[in-house]
Parts: sequence; structure tokens; C-alpha cells
Amino acid sequence: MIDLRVIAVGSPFTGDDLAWQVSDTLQQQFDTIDFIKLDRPGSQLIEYLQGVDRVVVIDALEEKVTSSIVELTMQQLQQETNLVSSHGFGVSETLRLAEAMQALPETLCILGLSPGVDIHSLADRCAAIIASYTTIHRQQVSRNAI
Amino acid sequence: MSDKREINIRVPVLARVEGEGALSFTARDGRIEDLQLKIFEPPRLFEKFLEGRDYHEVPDMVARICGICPVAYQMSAVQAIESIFEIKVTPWVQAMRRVMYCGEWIQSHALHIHLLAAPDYLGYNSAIEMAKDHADIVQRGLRLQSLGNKLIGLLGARSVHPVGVCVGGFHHAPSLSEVESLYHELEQSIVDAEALIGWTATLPLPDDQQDFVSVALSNEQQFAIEQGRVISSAGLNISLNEYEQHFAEHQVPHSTAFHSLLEGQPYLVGPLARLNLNLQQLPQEIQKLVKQSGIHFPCQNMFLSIVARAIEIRYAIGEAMRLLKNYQVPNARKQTVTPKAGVGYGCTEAPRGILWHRYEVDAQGIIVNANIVPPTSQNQARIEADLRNSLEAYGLQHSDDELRLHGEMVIRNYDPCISCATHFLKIKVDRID
Repeated sequence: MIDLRVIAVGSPFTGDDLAWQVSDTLQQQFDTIDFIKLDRPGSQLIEYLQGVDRVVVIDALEEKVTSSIVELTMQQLQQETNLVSSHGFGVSETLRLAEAMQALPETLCILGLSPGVDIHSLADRCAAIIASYTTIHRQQVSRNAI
Repeated sequence: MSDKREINIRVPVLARVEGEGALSFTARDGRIEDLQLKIFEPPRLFEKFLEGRDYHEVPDMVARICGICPVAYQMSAVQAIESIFEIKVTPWVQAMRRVMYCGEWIQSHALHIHLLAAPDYLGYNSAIEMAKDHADIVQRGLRLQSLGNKLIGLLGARSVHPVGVCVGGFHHAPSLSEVESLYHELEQSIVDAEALIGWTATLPLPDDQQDFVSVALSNEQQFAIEQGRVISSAGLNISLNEYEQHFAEHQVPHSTAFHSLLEGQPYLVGPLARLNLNLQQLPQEIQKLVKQSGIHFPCQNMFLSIVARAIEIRYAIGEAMRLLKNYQVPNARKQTVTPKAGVGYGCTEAPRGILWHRYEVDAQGIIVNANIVPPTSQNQARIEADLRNSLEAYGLQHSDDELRLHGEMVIRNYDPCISCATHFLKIKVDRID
């Protein structure tokens, strides 16, 4: 049973494939996680948030940041300016739409990847965060078993 | 002595937008003067990019013109080039192109209805706000949009800027199992599509009857989508190579998008124009749904375009099912292509209206020149005329905020590309009393 899904948002084009590259690297490390690469999904991202309790969304940031990865909250996404054209329906607008429809997974982690950082470094940091989610899950499962 | 009050209202500009628009007008003695819909995003010069490129590059290049209706650009382009090379595509190719086009209509219309247009009529600033109160409606819209995207992906390998179309046919033929799976989804979605027609027909849409000419493709065999002659409600009936004798694009100082006129007058293209001209060609079951909706066509109220879009979604689902029902993987998915020099024309019904292409190609198949007239250009003059009429009918005594919202609603009603450009509408009203 899939308990965690990692969704990489991007496209096949160089410069817009950062999250896809990181996802490819991560996939080699986790065999029980469902990895999905989405090509500019717009509002269709919501479809892929369904059927699983915990989801990690990874997407490239527009600008380089010092910490290489930023873990964003829904509250931070709320602070973005109001939407929106159909072309401007990006990840933050889509997640806010999902939230409005109460269609977010139980646990959602949004990771913004800094451009200009080595893929393996990004993957390592993502892996640590993803591993923490799988650990939490294992602990919950074992508690339930007791 | 006149008192001139100038008010500037600004809606913040967001990142990741594909266009910007503005509206300004002067009102004097309760009448609008000097109304300008300003589209000021930079020219994209696609026609120039195409010059010197090989014919086989064209379908993939023109697909990049629009993220919402790439299939339309591909279909008009291949039709034009195939006419130059005297290629007659197989019935399988023709049918699958129509299926792919149905996918585009479904996804584009579903997106426009739910994420762009409907919030206006229900008093919300955005689909996100609307979704809090109408989650089931928005979910239904997203399901339909997803279905359309899957149809495009079936033949185009992906839904955004698909890559499956080529001159002479397709690069790839879907497997039987892929088609069977999607056929089942189409069948399941009929309930959603029919409910959508009923829902749009009950929206509190303004009653704003206007005088305009409708223009669409017409095909004796079937409801025109991917081929036909150009007809109008004023009696025009021409082949594609006669288009430039009747339609002319011109530049206006306030917009980087051309305005196109038919015999010197604005005209309408898009779903409402199509139903105004071709409703009788819809299957009886769809016509019955139209009748049940209580909407009568031909219709001169542009605000009923949202119902027309819903009707076309239902039609496109049924049409895709009809074409896929007895699907077989073909022996040949494309024709052999031998380039020839010449000039060719293509015109298909993009979700927002007719999309006309003209190409000149040399003997090696290199593009000498290209001319593309998108529906957005064709509707621009009509939008300005509509704004004048609609805002006056609405009443200029309303506040600037109310006028801005009404103006935005009028513009958004036409076309998602224009919607993109005008969701960030800056309005400048000069009131001269």
C-alpha cells in the first residue's frame, strides 16, 4: 500500500526540470514511495493529491535561496497575491484551490528547490525530509499495532 | 463648465502571467466615449520564427503559441501544409484529429467555465473563493478538464504543447487498451456534462441582447470542428483561400494584438457563434438537452456563451465516443510526405473560435512566410463594441469598482486568452459631467 507520494512539478525542458531531476535521484533511494513527475499540471495537480494520506510536492523556486530548500506552509502560500489567469494557475493557486475544496491530503509538505544548487545536494536534503515523514508513519503504524 | 473627475483604480499585477490588459474610457453625459481595450504584452513574432523552418517543425512550433489550445494551432497548420503537398489523410487520421480536438474543447471550456467565468456570475473574486461554497461544482469542472487533457494526451503524448501531430498524420497510434480505458471514462463523464448544461443555464446571467454577426466554420457532413467553409450569420459562405478578401487585420495604437474586421465590421467567433450557425447539426440527444435548458439559439446575448461552452463539452464527449467506439490500431498512422512549393490555407474551430493559417512553402518544404489569425484578434473589435453597449446598459451611475467588475466580466466572457490578459485590469474612467 502506498502511504507517501512525492510529486515533482516541472517539465521536460532544461531549466524547468529541476524537480524532475531531484525526483529521479530520490526514486533510487526509496522503493516504497510513489513518485510522480507532472508536466505543468496546473489545476490537475489536485487529482494527484487524492488517494493517499501524505504528499510531498517538490517544485523549483524562481530565485536562488541560501538554504537550497525551503519548506513552505499553506499559510505562506496564502500570502501570495490573489489569482489569477489560467496561465497563472500555478502550484500555490492550485493548492489553495484544493484547500478551499477540502481536498488536501492529511499531511502535505511543500518543498521549494533553489536553482543553481547541485542536484545530489538537493536530493540529499529532500531525502532527509522525506525520510522523516516515513519514520513518523512507521511509528504511527507500530503504535496502532500495539 | 464641466467638472472632470479622474479616478485610477489598480488591480495588482501578479508573477507568472502570460499577458496584461487594461481598459480605459471616457464617459460624457451618460455615454461612453473613447473606449479602449489595451493589450500590451509584447508581440510574440511567431510567424517570423516560422520563416526558414522545415515544414515538419511547424506543428510543434505553433503548438507553443497557446498552452490552452495548442491542438487548434497544430490542426490548422497541418491542414494548410497538407493542402500544399496534396496529401489526403486517411479516415483514421481524420477521425483521430477530431478526437484530439474534442479533448481540447472539453478541457478549455471546462477550465473557462469553472476557473474564469463562473465566479463572476456567482459574486466571487476567484475560483478559489467560489470553491469554498461550491466545492462539488469546481470538482466536477476539474474532472471534465482532466478528461479533456487525457484525450489530448492519448494522441499527443502530453496535454500541454502535445507532440503527436505531424504533417500527414500522427507520430504514434494509441493502443486498443488505452482507448478502451478512456472510452469508459468518457461514458462515465456524460452525467457531469449534462448536469453542467443545466447548471450554467440557471446561473444569474445578465440579459444583454446585442446586434452582432456570428462567424464560424460550416461543414455539410457534421458539426464543424477541424474542417469546413467559413460562413456568417450575414450570409457569407467562402472557402479558406477567399478569407483575406473579406477579413482584414489592422493595428490599433492602443494594442499589440491586431483587430480583425469582416467587411469593415466587428464580428463574433467562438462557441456562441458556432451554435448560432450550426446548432441543427448537433445530434438529436444534444438538441434535446439544449431545449430542456430553456436557451434558444440563435442567441444575441453574449453572456450565454457559458451555456454554449457547456453544450459543446457534452457534444465533444459524445463525438469522441462515437469516433473511438470501434477503434482499431491502423496499419499506417501517417502518409508519406513529398514537399511541394505552393500556398495553402487551414482553418479550424479553436475553443474560442476560428483559427486561420496561411503558409507559403518552397519546393524543399521550407516555410517562406506564414500568417496566423487567432480567434483572440478576431474577437477584439467585438469585445470593444460589447463593452460600450454592456457598460451603458449596465448604467454609468455605478461606482468605478462596479464598472470595473462589469467590464472585466464582459471581457472574460469571450476567451481564456483574453481573460489572462485582463484579469489584471487597470481601469481609468474620466467622468465628464
